Amino acid sequence: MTTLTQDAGLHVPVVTRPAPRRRFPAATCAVLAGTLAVLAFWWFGTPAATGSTPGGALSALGELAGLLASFLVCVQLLLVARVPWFETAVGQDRLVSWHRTLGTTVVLLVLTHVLLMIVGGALLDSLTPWAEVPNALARQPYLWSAVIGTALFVLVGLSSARGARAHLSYEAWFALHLTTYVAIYLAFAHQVVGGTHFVTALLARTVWVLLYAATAGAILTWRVALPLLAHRQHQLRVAAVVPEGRGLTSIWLEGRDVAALAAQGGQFFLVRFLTRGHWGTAHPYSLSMVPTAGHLRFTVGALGDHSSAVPHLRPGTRVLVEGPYGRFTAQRATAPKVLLVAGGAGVGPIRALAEDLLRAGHDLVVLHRAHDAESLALAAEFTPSAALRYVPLPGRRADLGHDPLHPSTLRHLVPDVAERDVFVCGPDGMIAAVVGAARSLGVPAGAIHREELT
Amino acid sequence: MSTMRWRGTLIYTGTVAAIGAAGIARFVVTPDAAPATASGIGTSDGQSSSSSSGTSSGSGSSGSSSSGSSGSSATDTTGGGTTTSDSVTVVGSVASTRYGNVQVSVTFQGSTITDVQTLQAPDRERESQQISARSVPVLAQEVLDAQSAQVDTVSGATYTSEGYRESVQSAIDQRG
Repeated sequence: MTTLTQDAGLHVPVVTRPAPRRRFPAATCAVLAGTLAVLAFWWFGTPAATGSTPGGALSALGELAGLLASFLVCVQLLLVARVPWFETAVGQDRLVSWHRTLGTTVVLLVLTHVLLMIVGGALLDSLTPWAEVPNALARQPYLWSAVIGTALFVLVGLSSARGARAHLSYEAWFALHLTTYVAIYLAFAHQVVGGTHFVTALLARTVWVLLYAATAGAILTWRVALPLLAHRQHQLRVAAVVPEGRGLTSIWLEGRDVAALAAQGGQFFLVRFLTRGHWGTAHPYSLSMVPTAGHLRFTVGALGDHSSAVPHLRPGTRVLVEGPYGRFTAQRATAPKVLLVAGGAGVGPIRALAEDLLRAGHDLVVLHRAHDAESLALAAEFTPSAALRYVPLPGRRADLGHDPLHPSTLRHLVPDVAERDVFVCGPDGMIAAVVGAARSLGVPAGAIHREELT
Repeated sequence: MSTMRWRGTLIYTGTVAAIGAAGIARFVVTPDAAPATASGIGTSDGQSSSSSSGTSSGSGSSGSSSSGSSGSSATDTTGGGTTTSDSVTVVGSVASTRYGNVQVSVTFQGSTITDVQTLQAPDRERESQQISARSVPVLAQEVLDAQSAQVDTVSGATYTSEGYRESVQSAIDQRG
């Protein structure tokens, strides 16, 4: 096992706290600009006379709802296409979070589009809404496939809803999620062939096709082609599976030219073990040490049914990894002094991050929370030194009678916390407690960095 | 990161508000419609008559006579017909679509369809006029090629195509 030692020669104290970089608004601006472009496109393609009848007005608004839904679907896909620029600027956790948020918006917009087109069409044709449905299906090109696509969309949306997601296994949910590509394909034809805005405007149709082609290209590049190329280059295999404390397991991977992955402490990979019961799904695993020339190490907890099967992996199993991802890295530190807080399986990324931070010359305090002393995994790797103070905090709050991360305790444990950057990784509840305590003790929001375990 | 609850629904609500606002701005606040539509009908008629003179292959006299009848007796000329020597022009019925009426006249030379004139095409909106202007010549050529009303739908002109077929068929039925 490696241990952490301070490299005094690399001690470069950071003097001032620069303003935290906030590049996320740039991405938000891009999405808003795209939305405005779609709006403008609709505006100039829709004569005001269209609104002279209620049916015409409702149909036109339904078309706008459909256009926006279609645009946001591309945004949604680009958010999870692992585009490197997004990954470093925004971070995968927030990208996935926005992907989910927009999922709700898109499904509701698609339903709005359907509703407005039916009601608007019924008014135009002087039919009842239920008579308009077969009427439109018989006339509009590719509308049947769009209906199937819409049904799939709604199904995927429902499966991802908070209530349903809890009852579905990751594998079932993921398989269902993949059908979204089919749904998008099925819905695309009716947009460019049937959509009144596209049939007469060659330029608009070209732009729309290019938008979809670019989205597909991004997904194929960063989610399929590059990971496969990396797999050929690195030939990663399981080298060893080592139990660490209670409920945690380290997986060592070996391969060629691992350093070329350029992974940093605190980052994670999407890991897929190519063996029965595992190959269908990729899970986000954080590095628990900075990779060496030939080895990567992940330390995982027994969190879902997949993670609990990890201890039974055989050495030699081929492994496909995507990454590295995540911006929970040493570069985020804005002050020379840093507080690291690890909870449960969160010790893995904290351990790897500590390695990078020490190398960059930071002064570290590590707080390590666990249910009991036996669960303090990797504790031996935090070698105390002039630059590293390690504080194990075992015990459940109910048994201890207090919360070791309460502001008053935290101030006692780390008197200079206000001068420190805080990196916290662990369960949601613990992160919330630490963020709250650190804020109340005067740590600026921009100096608090968090990584939840998924 | 746990997703903010209801954020997607909030964005949806905002988007629907924006869609509503766009609709009000487009249809209520800036009604540049009235003059455009009025002049549009004029140009639409002009287009149909000019296209008819362009596509009439056989006798120029039948083309001019049919466009003359459409100009004078407007929509209710169903069943009327004009005969010049052995060519017969039959006016089809008015097919109403969601975007406006479609009516054609079909000229027969014996049992051969030699010309199709558009007497009315959907003109309710500028959009419809554009679609009509684009689709009607295509439909006319298709009828001449197929020598029947069984012609393909022109992409993006579903309703016009359907009305066109209906009117052509009625003219063929009248000819017997």
